[in-house]
Amino acid sequence: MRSSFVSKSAAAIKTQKPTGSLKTKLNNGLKVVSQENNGAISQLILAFRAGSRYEKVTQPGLVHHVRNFVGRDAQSYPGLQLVWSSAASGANLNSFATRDIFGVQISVARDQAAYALSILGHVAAKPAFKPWELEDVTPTILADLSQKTPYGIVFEDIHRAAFRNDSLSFSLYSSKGQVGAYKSQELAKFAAKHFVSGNAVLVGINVDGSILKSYAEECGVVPDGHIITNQGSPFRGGDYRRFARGNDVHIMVAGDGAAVGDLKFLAAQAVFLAHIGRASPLKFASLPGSTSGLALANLPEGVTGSAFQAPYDGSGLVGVYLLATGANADSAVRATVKVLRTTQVQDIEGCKRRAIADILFNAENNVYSAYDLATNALYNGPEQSELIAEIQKIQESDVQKYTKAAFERLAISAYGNYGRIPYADEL
Amino acid sequence: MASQAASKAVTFAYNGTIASTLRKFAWSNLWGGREYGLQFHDTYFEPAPEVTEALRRLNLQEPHVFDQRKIRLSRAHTLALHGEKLPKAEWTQWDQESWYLKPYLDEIEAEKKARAETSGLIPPYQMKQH
Repeated sequence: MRSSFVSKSAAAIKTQKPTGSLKTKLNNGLKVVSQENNGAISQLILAFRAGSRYEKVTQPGLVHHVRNFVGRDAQSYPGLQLVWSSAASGANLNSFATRDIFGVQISVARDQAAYALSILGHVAAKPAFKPWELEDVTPTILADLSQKTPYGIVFEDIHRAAFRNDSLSFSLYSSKGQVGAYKSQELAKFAAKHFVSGNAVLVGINVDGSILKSYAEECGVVPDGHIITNQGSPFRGGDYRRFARGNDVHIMVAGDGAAVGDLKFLAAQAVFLAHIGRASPLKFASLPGSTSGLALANLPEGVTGSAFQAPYDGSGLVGVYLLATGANADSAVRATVKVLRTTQVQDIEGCKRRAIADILFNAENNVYSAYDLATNALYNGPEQSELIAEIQKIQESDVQKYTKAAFERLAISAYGNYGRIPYADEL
Repeated sequence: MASQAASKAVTFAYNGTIASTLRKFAWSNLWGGREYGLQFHDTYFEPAPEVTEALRRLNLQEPHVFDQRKIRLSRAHTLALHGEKLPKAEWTQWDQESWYLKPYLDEIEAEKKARAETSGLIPPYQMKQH
Protein backbone atom coordinates (compact mmCIF):
# COMPACT_ATOMS: atom_id res chain seq x y z
CA MET A 1 0.00 0.00 0.00
CA ARG A 2 2.90 2.34 0.58
CA SER A 3 3.63 4.10 -2.66
CA SER A 4 7.13 5.17 -3.57
CA PHE A 5 5.94 8.73 -3.17
CA VAL A 6 5.40 8.13 0.52
CA SER A 7 8.96 7.05 1.16
CA LYS A 8 10.24 10.12 -0.65
CA SER A 9 8.05 12.45 1.36
CA ALA A 10 8.89 10.72 4.62
CA ALA A 11 12.51 11.62 3.99
CA ALA A 12 11.45 15.11 3.05
CA ILE A 13 9.75 15.65 6.40
CA LYS A 14 13.02 15.08 8.22
CA THR A 15 15.06 17.44 6.10
CA GLN A 16 12.72 20.43 5.74
CA LYS A 17 11.55 22.90 8.33
CA PRO A 18 7.77 23.37 8.28
CA THR A 19 6.69 26.23 6.01
CA GLY A 20 3.83 28.55 6.81
CA SER A 21 0.46 28.68 5.15
CA LEU A 22 0.01 28.03 1.48
CA LYS A 23 -2.78 28.85 -0.89
CA THR A 24 -2.33 27.91 -4.54
CA LYS A 25 -4.18 26.63 -7.53
CA LEU A 26 -2.44 24.07 -9.70
CA ASN A 27 -2.43 23.87 -13.47
CA ASN A 28 -5.15 21.26 -13.51
CA GLY A 29 -7.42 23.49 -11.42
CA LEU A 30 -6.95 21.69 -8.12
CA LYS A 31 -6.76 24.16 -5.22
CA VAL A 32 -4.36 23.49 -2.39
CA VAL A 33 -4.75 25.22 0.97
CA SER A 34 -2.51 24.64 3.92
CA GLN A 35 -2.36 26.22 7.36
CA GLU A 36 0.29 25.72 9.99
CA ASN A 37 -1.02 25.81 13.55
CA ASN A 38 1.97 23.98 15.02
CA GLY A 39 -0.23 21.25 16.40
CA ALA A 40 0.46 17.55 16.66
CA ILE A 41 -2.61 16.34 14.76
CA SER A 42 -2.98 16.99 11.04
CA GLN A 43 -6.37 17.57 9.48
CA LEU A 44 -6.61 16.63 5.82
CA ILE A 45 -9.62 17.23 3.63
CA LEU A 46 -10.23 16.46 -0.01
CA ALA A 47 -13.48 18.18 -0.92
CA PHE A 48 -15.43 18.78 -4.12
CA ARG A 49 -18.20 21.05 -5.27
CA ALA A 50 -20.60 18.14 -5.04
CA GLY A 51 -23.05 18.97 -2.31
CA SER A 52 -26.73 18.19 -2.39
CA ARG A 53 -27.48 21.27 -4.48
CA TYR A 54 -25.77 19.55 -7.41
CA GLU A 55 -28.25 16.69 -7.46
CA LYS A 56 -30.71 16.69 -10.30
CA VAL A 57 -34.36 17.23 -9.42
CA THR A 58 -34.95 13.55 -10.15
CA GLN A 59 -32.16 12.47 -7.80
CA PRO A 60 -33.13 13.37 -4.23
CA GLY A 61 -30.87 11.73 -1.73
CA LEU A 62 -28.08 10.90 -4.20
CA VAL A 63 -25.39 12.65 -2.17
CA HIS A 64 -26.45 10.70 0.92
CA HIS A 65 -25.76 7.49 -0.98
CA VAL A 66 -22.41 8.79 -2.24
CA ARG A 67 -21.46 9.86 1.27
CA ASN A 68 -22.25 6.45 2.75
CA PHE A 69 -20.26 4.70 0.03
CA VAL A 70 -17.02 6.22 1.32
CA GLY A 71 -14.87 3.49 2.81
CA ARG A 72 -16.01 0.84 0.34
CA ASP A 73 -13.95 -0.35 -2.61
CA ALA A 74 -12.08 2.28 -4.55
CA GLN A 75 -11.09 1.77 -8.17
CA SER A 76 -7.56 0.66 -7.32
CA TYR A 77 -7.76 -0.72 -3.79
CA PRO A 78 -10.22 -2.76 -1.76
CA GLY A 79 -12.17 -0.68 0.73
CA LEU A 80 -11.23 -2.83 3.68
CA GLN A 81 -7.57 -2.34 2.95
CA LEU A 82 -7.94 1.45 2.73
CA VAL A 83 -9.89 1.79 5.95
CA TRP A 84 -7.72 -0.68 7.82
CA SER A 85 -4.51 1.05 6.69
CA SER A 86 -5.83 4.40 7.82
CA ALA A 87 -6.79 2.96 11.19
CA ALA A 88 -3.43 1.23 11.50
CA SER A 89 -1.73 4.60 11.16
CA GLY A 90 -3.98 6.05 13.85
CA ALA A 91 -6.18 8.10 11.57
CA ASN A 92 -9.88 8.93 11.82
CA LEU A 93 -11.63 8.94 8.47
CA ASN A 94 -14.98 10.72 7.96
CA SER A 95 -17.05 11.59 4.95
CA PHE A 96 -19.14 14.73 5.11
CA ALA A 97 -21.43 16.75 2.91
CA THR A 98 -23.09 20.12 3.06
CA ARG A 99 -25.35 21.60 0.47
CA ASP A 100 -22.31 23.11 -1.24
CA ILE A 101 -19.50 20.63 -0.79
CA PHE A 102 -18.82 16.94 -0.34
CA GLY A 103 -15.58 15.55 0.96
CA VAL A 104 -13.56 13.17 3.08
CA GLN A 105 -11.71 14.31 6.16
CA ILE A 106 -8.83 12.54 7.89
CA SER A 107 -7.39 13.41 11.30
CA VAL A 108 -4.02 11.83 11.83
CA ALA A 109 -0.87 12.30 13.84
CA ARG A 110 1.52 14.59 12.06
CA ASP A 111 4.21 12.05 11.23
CA GLN A 112 1.72 9.81 9.42
CA ALA A 113 0.24 12.65 7.40
CA ALA A 114 1.94 11.71 4.14
CA TYR A 115 0.69 8.12 4.37
CA ALA A 116 -2.82 9.28 5.22
CA LEU A 117 -2.73 11.62 2.23
CA SER A 118 -2.12 8.72 -0.11
CA ILE A 119 -5.16 6.96 1.34
CA LEU A 120 -7.27 10.13 1.18
CA GLY A 121 -6.89 10.51 -2.55
CA HIS A 122 -8.19 7.04 -3.33
CA VAL A 123 -11.00 7.08 -0.79
CA ALA A 124 -12.38 10.46 -1.81
CA ALA A 125 -11.72 10.81 -5.51
CA LYS A 126 -11.98 7.31 -6.92
CA PRO A 127 -14.89 5.38 -5.46
CA ALA A 128 -15.83 2.31 -7.47
CA PHE A 129 -19.50 1.97 -6.42
CA LYS A 130 -19.44 -1.77 -6.94
CA PRO A 131 -22.99 -3.08 -7.47
CA TRP A 132 -22.66 -5.83 -4.86
CA GLU A 133 -21.81 -3.34 -2.15
CA LEU A 134 -25.08 -1.47 -2.49
CA GLU A 135 -26.90 -3.96 -0.28
CA ASP A 136 -24.29 -3.43 2.42
CA VAL A 137 -24.58 0.35 2.21
CA THR A 138 -28.39 0.56 2.26
CA PRO A 139 -28.74 -0.33 5.97
CA THR A 140 -26.26 2.41 6.88
CA ILE A 141 -28.47 4.97 5.16
CA LEU A 142 -31.49 3.71 7.09
CA ALA A 143 -29.45 3.98 10.27
CA ASP A 144 -28.64 7.62 9.45
CA LEU A 145 -32.30 8.36 8.93
CA SER A 146 -33.19 6.92 12.30
CA GLN A 147 -30.61 9.16 13.99
CA LYS A 148 -32.12 12.45 12.88
CA THR A 149 -32.71 14.96 15.68
CA PRO A 150 -35.63 17.43 15.76
CA TYR A 151 -33.16 20.24 15.15
CA GLY A 152 -31.87 18.42 12.08
CA ILE A 153 -35.39 17.86 10.78
CA VAL A 154 -36.39 21.47 11.25
CA PHE A 155 -33.10 22.61 9.68
CA GLU A 156 -33.79 20.61 6.52
CA ASP A 157 -37.35 21.89 6.46
CA ILE A 158 -36.33 25.55 6.69
CA HIS A 159 -34.44 25.06 3.43
CA ARG A 160 -37.50 23.53 1.82
CA ALA A 161 -39.49 26.52 3.01
CA ALA A 162 -36.96 29.17 2.04
CA PHE A 163 -35.70 27.91 -1.31
CA ARG A 164 -38.86 26.13 -2.51
CA ASN A 165 -38.17 24.33 -5.79
CA ASP A 166 -34.56 25.43 -6.23
CA SER A 167 -31.45 23.40 -5.66
CA LEU A 168 -30.66 24.62 -2.15
CA SER A 169 -33.93 23.09 -0.98
CA PHE A 170 -32.65 19.57 -1.71
CA SER A 171 -32.11 17.72 1.52
CA LEU A 172 -28.83 16.23 2.67
CA TYR A 173 -30.73 13.15 3.70
CA SER A 174 -32.36 10.64 1.43
CA SER A 175 -36.02 9.99 2.07
CA LYS A 176 -36.94 6.51 3.25
CA GLY A 177 -38.54 5.60 -0.06
CA GLN A 178 -35.43 6.56 -1.99
CA VAL A 179 -33.01 4.42 -0.02
CA GLY A 180 -31.35 1.98 -2.38
CA ALA A 181 -32.85 3.68 -5.42
CA TYR A 182 -29.52 4.70 -6.88
CA LYS A 183 -27.58 2.00 -8.66
CA SER A 184 -23.93 1.79 -9.46
CA GLN A 185 -24.15 3.52 -12.79
CA GLU A 186 -25.91 6.64 -11.56
CA LEU A 187 -23.54 7.07 -8.64
CA ALA A 188 -20.52 6.55 -10.89
CA LYS A 189 -21.84 9.16 -13.31
CA PHE A 190 -22.17 11.72 -10.53
CA ALA A 191 -18.65 10.95 -9.32
CA ALA A 192 -17.17 11.13 -12.80
CA LYS A 193 -18.72 14.56 -13.29
CA HIS A 194 -17.91 16.11 -9.91
CA PHE A 195 -14.80 14.42 -8.52
CA VAL A 196 -12.40 16.19 -10.84
CA SER A 197 -9.46 18.49 -10.30
CA GLY A 198 -11.13 21.73 -11.36
CA ASN A 199 -13.87 21.06 -8.85
CA ALA A 200 -11.67 20.08 -5.93
CA VAL A 201 -9.68 21.44 -3.03
CA LEU A 202 -7.04 19.76 -0.92
CA VAL A 203 -6.86 21.24 2.56
CA GLY A 204 -4.23 20.49 5.18
CA ILE A 205 -3.90 21.88 8.69
CA ASN A 206 -0.69 21.12 10.54
CA VAL A 207 0.75 19.58 7.39
CA ASP A 208 3.76 20.88 5.57
CA GLY A 209 2.44 22.81 2.58
CA SER A 210 5.09 21.45 0.26
CA ILE A 211 4.01 17.87 1.00
CA LEU A 212 0.44 18.75 0.13
CA LYS A 213 1.48 20.51 -3.04
CA SER A 214 3.77 17.74 -4.25
CA TYR A 215 1.11 15.13 -3.51
CA ALA A 216 -1.46 17.11 -5.43
CA GLU A 217 0.87 17.60 -8.38
CA GLU A 218 2.49 14.19 -8.63
CA CYS A 219 0.06 11.54 -7.54
CA GLY A 220 -2.57 12.09 -10.23
CA VAL A 221 -5.34 10.46 -8.22
CA VAL A 222 -7.89 13.19 -8.89
CA PRO A 223 -8.84 13.02 -12.58
CA ASP A 224 -8.62 16.15 -14.67
CA GLY A 225 -11.77 18.08 -15.27
CA HIS A 226 -13.25 21.52 -15.15
CA ILE A 227 -15.25 23.25 -12.49
CA ILE A 228 -18.98 22.60 -12.17
CA THR A 229 -21.07 25.74 -11.72
CA ASN A 230 -24.43 25.80 -10.05
CA GLN A 231 -27.57 27.64 -10.98
CA GLY A 232 -28.48 30.24 -8.42
CA SER A 233 -30.94 29.41 -5.70
CA PRO A 234 -32.33 32.66 -4.36
CA PHE A 235 -34.19 33.03 -1.11
CA ARG A 236 -37.93 32.98 -1.71
CA GLY A 237 -39.54 32.43 1.67
CA GLY A 238 -42.44 30.27 2.71
CA ASP A 239 -43.60 27.72 5.21
CA TYR A 240 -43.06 24.06 5.91
CA ARG A 241 -44.62 22.37 8.89
CA ARG A 242 -44.72 18.80 10.17
CA PHE A 243 -47.03 17.58 12.84
CA ALA A 244 -45.84 15.28 15.59
CA ARG A 245 -47.56 14.35 18.83
CA GLY A 246 -46.33 15.83 22.07
CA ASN A 247 -46.22 19.19 23.75
CA ASP A 248 -43.20 20.70 22.11
CA VAL A 249 -42.66 22.33 18.79
CA HIS A 250 -39.30 23.07 17.21
CA ILE A 251 -39.48 26.19 15.08
CA MET A 252 -37.04 27.92 12.81
CA VAL A 253 -37.64 31.45 11.56
CA ALA A 254 -35.21 32.53 8.86
CA GLY A 255 -34.55 35.42 6.55
CA ASP A 256 -32.36 36.06 3.55
CA GLY A 257 -28.84 35.73 4.91
CA ALA A 258 -25.42 36.59 3.55
CA ALA A 259 -23.80 34.37 0.92
CA VAL A 260 -20.38 32.80 1.36
CA GLY A 261 -18.66 35.34 -0.87
CA ASP A 262 -20.42 38.41 0.48
CA LEU A 263 -17.88 39.90 2.90
CA LYS A 264 -19.72 43.02 3.99
CA PHE A 265 -23.00 41.27 4.67
CA LEU A 266 -21.26 38.38 6.42
CA ALA A 267 -19.66 40.86 8.79
CA ALA A 268 -22.93 42.69 9.46
CA GLN A 269 -24.61 39.30 9.94
CA ALA A 270 -22.00 38.23 12.48
CA VAL A 271 -22.54 41.38 14.51
CA PHE A 272 -26.30 41.01 14.29
CA LEU A 273 -26.16 37.39 15.44
CA ALA A 274 -23.99 38.35 18.39
CA HIS A 275 -26.65 40.89 19.31
CA ILE A 276 -29.50 38.37 18.99
CA GLY A 277 -27.52 35.83 20.93
CA ARG A 278 -28.98 32.87 22.68
CA ALA A 279 -31.73 32.67 25.29
CA SER A 280 -30.64 30.46 28.10
CA PRO A 281 -32.68 27.37 28.90
CA LEU A 282 -31.67 27.87 32.52
CA LYS A 283 -33.52 30.21 34.80
CA PHE A 284 -30.66 32.29 36.19
CA ALA A 285 -27.99 31.90 33.56
CA SER A 286 -26.58 34.87 31.76
CA LEU A 287 -25.26 34.17 28.28
CA PRO A 288 -23.73 36.77 26.02
CA GLY A 289 -26.54 38.69 24.45
CA SER A 290 -28.99 37.73 27.16
CA THR A 291 -29.58 41.35 28.09
CA SER A 292 -30.36 42.30 24.50
CA GLY A 293 -31.61 40.70 21.38
CA LEU A 294 -33.85 37.73 21.97
CA ALA A 295 -34.33 38.52 25.61
CA LEU A 296 -35.77 41.87 24.59
CA ALA A 297 -38.44 39.98 22.78
CA ASN A 298 -39.91 38.95 26.11
CA LEU A 299 -40.20 35.43 24.92
CA PRO A 300 -42.95 33.57 26.73
CA GLU A 301 -42.11 31.48 29.75
CA GLY A 302 -40.34 28.26 28.84
CA VAL A 303 -39.42 29.25 25.30
CA THR A 304 -35.72 29.12 24.42
CA GLY A 305 -34.11 30.38 21.29
CA SER A 306 -30.77 30.64 19.55
CA ALA A 307 -29.66 32.55 16.54
CA PHE A 308 -28.22 30.59 13.61
CA GLN A 309 -26.77 31.28 10.20
CA ALA A 310 -26.20 29.17 7.12
CA PRO A 311 -24.27 30.85 4.32
CA TYR A 312 -24.16 29.13 0.92
CA ASP A 313 -22.88 30.05 -2.49
CA GLY A 314 -25.04 32.88 -3.79
CA SER A 315 -27.58 32.96 -0.96
CA GLY A 316 -27.92 32.07 2.68
CA LEU A 317 -30.13 31.79 5.71
CA VAL A 318 -30.07 33.64 9.00
CA GLY A 319 -32.54 33.47 11.83
CA VAL A 320 -33.59 32.00 15.09
CA TYR A 321 -34.25 28.46 16.30
CA LEU A 322 -37.01 28.31 18.91
CA LEU A 323 -38.19 25.54 21.17
CA ALA A 324 -41.72 26.30 22.32
CA THR A 325 -44.93 24.57 23.29
CA GLY A 326 -48.06 24.42 21.18
CA ALA A 327 -49.80 26.97 23.37
CA ASN A 328 -47.24 29.74 23.17
CA ALA A 329 -45.78 29.01 19.73
CA ASP A 330 -47.82 31.77 18.11
CA SER A 331 -46.74 34.52 20.48
CA ALA A 332 -43.14 33.27 20.48
CA VAL A 333 -42.89 33.48 16.70
CA ARG A 334 -44.53 36.90 16.53
CA ALA A 335 -42.27 38.28 19.23
CA THR A 336 -39.17 36.84 17.55
CA VAL A 337 -40.06 38.29 14.17
CA LYS A 338 -40.64 41.69 15.77
CA VAL A 339 -37.16 41.57 17.28
CA LEU A 340 -35.55 40.40 14.05
CA ARG A 341 -37.09 43.25 12.09
CA THR A 342 -37.01 46.17 14.46
CA THR A 343 -34.29 45.59 17.00
CA GLN A 344 -31.80 48.33 17.77
CA VAL A 345 -28.30 47.17 18.53
CA GLN A 346 -27.52 48.70 21.91
CA ASP A 347 -23.91 47.79 22.48
CA ILE A 348 -22.36 47.68 19.01
CA GLU A 349 -18.80 47.46 20.27
CA GLY A 350 -19.67 44.61 22.58
CA CYS A 351 -21.43 42.81 19.77
CA LYS A 352 -18.44 43.24 17.51
CA ARG A 353 -16.10 41.87 20.13
CA ARG A 354 -18.40 38.90 20.75
CA ALA A 355 -18.64 38.20 17.01
CA ILE A 356 -14.87 38.25 16.66
CA ALA A 357 -14.46 36.08 19.75
CA ASP A 358 -16.92 33.54 18.29
CA ILE A 359 -14.88 33.32 15.11
CA LEU A 360 -11.62 32.95 16.99
CA PHE A 361 -13.04 30.34 19.36
CA ASN A 362 -14.26 28.29 16.40
CA ALA A 363 -10.84 28.62 14.85
CA GLU A 364 -9.41 26.81 17.85
CA ASN A 365 -11.10 23.68 16.56
CA ASN A 366 -8.97 22.47 13.68
CA VAL A 367 -11.67 20.26 12.24
CA TYR A 368 -14.10 23.18 11.86
CA SER A 369 -11.32 25.35 10.48
CA ALA A 370 -10.58 22.73 7.88
CA TYR A 371 -14.22 22.62 6.78
CA ASP A 372 -14.27 26.43 6.57
CA LEU A 373 -11.04 26.52 4.58
CA ALA A 374 -12.46 23.98 2.14
CA THR A 375 -15.72 25.90 1.62
CA ASN A 376 -13.99 29.25 1.29
CA ALA A 377 -11.48 27.90 -1.20
CA LEU A 378 -14.15 26.35 -3.41
CA TYR A 379 -16.55 29.31 -3.28
CA ASN A 380 -14.20 32.29 -2.88
CA GLY A 381 -15.19 33.01 0.67
CA PRO A 382 -13.28 35.53 2.77
CA GLU A 383 -10.37 34.58 4.94
CA GLN A 384 -10.74 34.74 8.69
CA SER A 385 -8.52 37.81 8.99
CA GLU A 386 -10.49 39.64 6.30
CA LEU A 387 -13.76 38.87 8.03
CA ILE A 388 -12.45 40.06 11.39
CA ALA A 389 -11.15 43.29 9.83
CA GLU A 390 -14.50 43.87 8.17
CA ILE A 391 -16.38 43.25 11.42
CA GLN A 392 -14.29 45.89 13.11
CA LYS A 393 -15.44 48.41 10.52
CA ILE A 394 -19.14 47.71 11.01
CA GLN A 395 -21.31 50.63 12.05
CA GLU A 396 -24.82 50.61 13.46
CA SER A 397 -26.18 51.85 10.12
CA ASP A 398 -24.73 48.78 8.42
CA VAL A 399 -26.58 46.51 10.79
CA GLN A 400 -29.81 48.47 10.23
CA LYS A 401 -29.43 48.17 6.48
CA TYR A 402 -28.69 44.50 6.85
CA THR A 403 -31.74 43.73 8.99
CA LYS A 404 -33.98 45.63 6.61
CA ALA A 405 -32.78 43.57 3.65
CA ALA A 406 -32.62 40.23 5.41
CA PHE A 407 -36.00 39.98 7.10
CA GLU A 408 -38.25 41.51 4.51
CA ARG A 409 -39.48 38.03 3.57
CA LEU A 410 -39.43 35.14 5.98
CA ALA A 411 -39.30 31.39 5.95
CA ILE A 412 -40.79 29.44 8.84
CA SER A 413 -40.50 25.74 9.50
CA ALA A 414 -42.07 23.90 12.41
CA TYR A 415 -41.91 20.35 13.69
CA GLY A 416 -44.13 19.15 16.46
CA ASN A 417 -47.36 20.40 17.95
CA TYR A 418 -47.30 23.58 15.94
CA GLY A 419 -50.54 25.08 17.18
CA ARG A 420 -51.40 28.33 15.48
CA ILE A 421 -47.99 29.49 14.27
CA PRO A 422 -48.58 32.33 11.81
CA TYR A 423 -47.70 31.81 8.15
CA ALA A 424 -44.83 33.77 6.66
CA ASP A 425 -47.04 36.04 4.57
CA GLU A 426 -49.11 37.07 7.58
CA LEU A 427 -46.06 38.58 9.26
CA MET B 1 -0.71 -14.77 -30.30
CA ALA B 2 -3.37 -17.28 -31.27
CA SER B 3 -2.90 -19.29 -28.10
CA GLN B 4 -3.47 -16.30 -25.89
CA ALA B 5 -6.79 -15.76 -24.17
CA ALA B 6 -9.48 -14.51 -26.48
CA SER B 7 -10.48 -11.75 -24.10
CA LYS B 8 -7.52 -9.42 -23.88
CA ALA B 9 -8.67 -8.13 -20.50
CA VAL B 10 -8.03 -11.51 -18.89
CA THR B 11 -4.44 -12.39 -18.01
CA PHE B 12 -3.38 -15.61 -16.41
CA ALA B 13 -0.58 -16.18 -13.94
CA TYR B 14 1.41 -18.07 -16.58
CA ASN B 15 1.24 -16.51 -20.00
CA GLY B 16 4.36 -17.80 -21.72
CA THR B 17 4.45 -19.86 -24.92
CA ILE B 18 4.49 -23.25 -23.18
CA ALA B 19 1.72 -22.35 -20.76
CA SER B 20 -0.60 -20.90 -23.36
CA THR B 21 0.00 -23.82 -25.75
CA LEU B 22 -0.77 -26.27 -22.98
CA ARG B 23 -3.84 -24.25 -22.08
CA LYS B 24 -5.15 -24.33 -25.64
CA PHE B 25 -4.43 -28.05 -25.96
CA ALA B 26 -6.18 -28.87 -22.72
CA TRP B 27 -9.17 -26.72 -23.59
CA SER B 28 -9.53 -28.30 -27.02
CA ASN B 29 -8.94 -31.96 -26.18
CA LEU B 30 -9.13 -32.70 -22.48
CA TRP B 31 -12.30 -30.83 -21.64
CA GLY B 32 -15.74 -32.05 -22.65
CA GLY B 33 -17.71 -28.81 -22.74
CA ARG B 34 -16.94 -27.82 -26.30
CA GLU B 35 -19.30 -30.35 -27.84
CA TYR B 36 -22.21 -28.92 -25.84
CA GLY B 37 -21.46 -25.33 -26.86
CA LEU B 38 -20.26 -24.32 -23.41
CA GLN B 39 -17.48 -22.04 -22.22
CA PHE B 40 -15.03 -23.21 -19.59
CA HIS B 41 -16.36 -21.01 -16.83
CA ASP B 42 -19.87 -22.36 -17.45
CA THR B 43 -18.69 -25.63 -15.96
CA TYR B 44 -17.10 -24.22 -12.81
CA PHE B 45 -18.27 -25.82 -9.58
CA GLU B 46 -21.12 -23.47 -8.64
CA PRO B 47 -21.62 -24.43 -4.99
CA ALA B 48 -18.11 -23.29 -4.11
CA PRO B 49 -18.51 -20.04 -2.11
CA GLU B 50 -16.08 -18.12 -4.29
CA VAL B 51 -17.85 -19.16 -7.48
CA THR B 52 -21.30 -18.45 -6.01
CA GLU B 53 -20.16 -14.96 -5.06
CA ALA B 54 -18.49 -14.41 -8.45
CA LEU B 55 -21.71 -15.38 -10.21
CA ARG B 56 -23.73 -13.06 -7.99
CA ARG B 57 -21.41 -10.19 -8.85
CA LEU B 58 -21.46 -11.09 -12.55
CA ASN B 59 -25.24 -10.90 -12.49
CA LEU B 60 -25.16 -7.49 -10.82
CA GLN B 61 -22.47 -5.95 -12.99
CA GLU B 62 -22.88 -7.68 -16.38
CA PRO B 63 -26.38 -9.14 -16.49
CA HIS B 64 -26.22 -9.85 -20.24
CA VAL B 65 -23.19 -12.09 -19.81
CA PHE B 66 -25.00 -13.90 -17.02
CA ASP B 67 -28.05 -14.37 -19.26
CA GLN B 68 -25.97 -15.75 -22.11
CA ARG B 69 -24.37 -18.20 -19.70
CA LYS B 70 -27.80 -19.33 -18.60
CA ILE B 71 -28.89 -19.84 -22.20
CA ARG B 72 -25.77 -21.88 -22.99
CA LEU B 73 -26.26 -24.06 -19.93
CA SER B 74 -29.94 -24.58 -20.70
CA ARG B 75 -29.16 -25.67 -24.26
CA ALA B 76 -26.35 -27.96 -23.06
CA HIS B 77 -28.57 -29.59 -20.45
CA THR B 78 -31.30 -30.21 -23.00
CA LEU B 79 -28.81 -31.82 -25.34
CA ALA B 80 -27.39 -34.02 -22.58
CA LEU B 81 -30.90 -35.00 -21.53
CA HIS B 82 -31.59 -36.28 -25.04
CA GLY B 83 -28.16 -37.89 -25.27
CA GLU B 84 -27.18 -35.56 -28.11
CA LYS B 85 -24.17 -33.45 -28.87
CA LEU B 86 -23.73 -30.50 -31.21
CA PRO B 87 -22.33 -31.10 -34.71
CA LYS B 88 -18.58 -30.41 -34.93
CA ALA B 89 -19.12 -27.15 -36.80
CA GLU B 90 -21.09 -25.70 -33.88
CA TRP B 91 -18.65 -26.64 -31.13
CA THR B 92 -17.24 -23.71 -29.12
CA GLN B 93 -14.24 -22.21 -30.90
CA TRP B 94 -11.12 -20.90 -29.18
CA ASP B 95 -11.84 -17.32 -30.15
CA GLN B 96 -15.35 -17.55 -28.74
CA GLU B 97 -13.97 -18.54 -25.35
CA SER B 98 -14.01 -15.73 -22.81
CA TRP B 99 -12.90 -16.35 -19.27
CA TYR B 100 -15.66 -14.17 -17.95
CA LEU B 101 -15.50 -15.18 -14.31
CA LYS B 102 -11.78 -14.63 -13.95
CA PRO B 103 -11.85 -10.92 -12.99
CA TYR B 104 -14.45 -11.59 -10.32
CA LEU B 105 -12.64 -14.62 -8.96
CA ASP B 106 -9.38 -12.68 -8.85
CA GLU B 107 -11.06 -9.90 -6.92
CA ILE B 108 -12.55 -12.36 -4.43
CA GLU B 109 -9.16 -13.98 -3.88
CA ALA B 110 -7.61 -10.54 -3.35
CA GLU B 111 -10.31 -9.71 -0.86
CA LYS B 112 -9.66 -12.94 1.03
CA LYS B 113 -5.98 -12.11 1.16
CA ALA B 114 -6.66 -8.52 2.28
CA ARG B 115 -9.02 -9.79 4.92
CA ALA B 116 -6.51 -12.26 6.26
CA GLU B 117 -3.89 -9.51 6.44
CA THR B 118 -6.14 -6.97 8.10
CA SER B 119 -9.19 -7.63 10.20
CA GLY B 120 -9.81 -11.33 9.64
CA LEU B 121 -13.53 -10.58 9.61
CA ILE B 122 -15.78 -12.89 7.61
CA PRO B 123 -17.14 -11.09 4.54
CA PRO B 124 -20.85 -10.34 4.37
CA TYR B 125 -21.53 -12.87 1.61
CA GLN B 126 -20.27 -15.70 3.79
CA MET B 127 -21.87 -14.35 6.94
CA LYS B 128 -25.40 -14.14 5.58
CA GLN B 129 -27.70 -17.11 6.12
CA HIS B 130 -29.24 -17.79 2.75
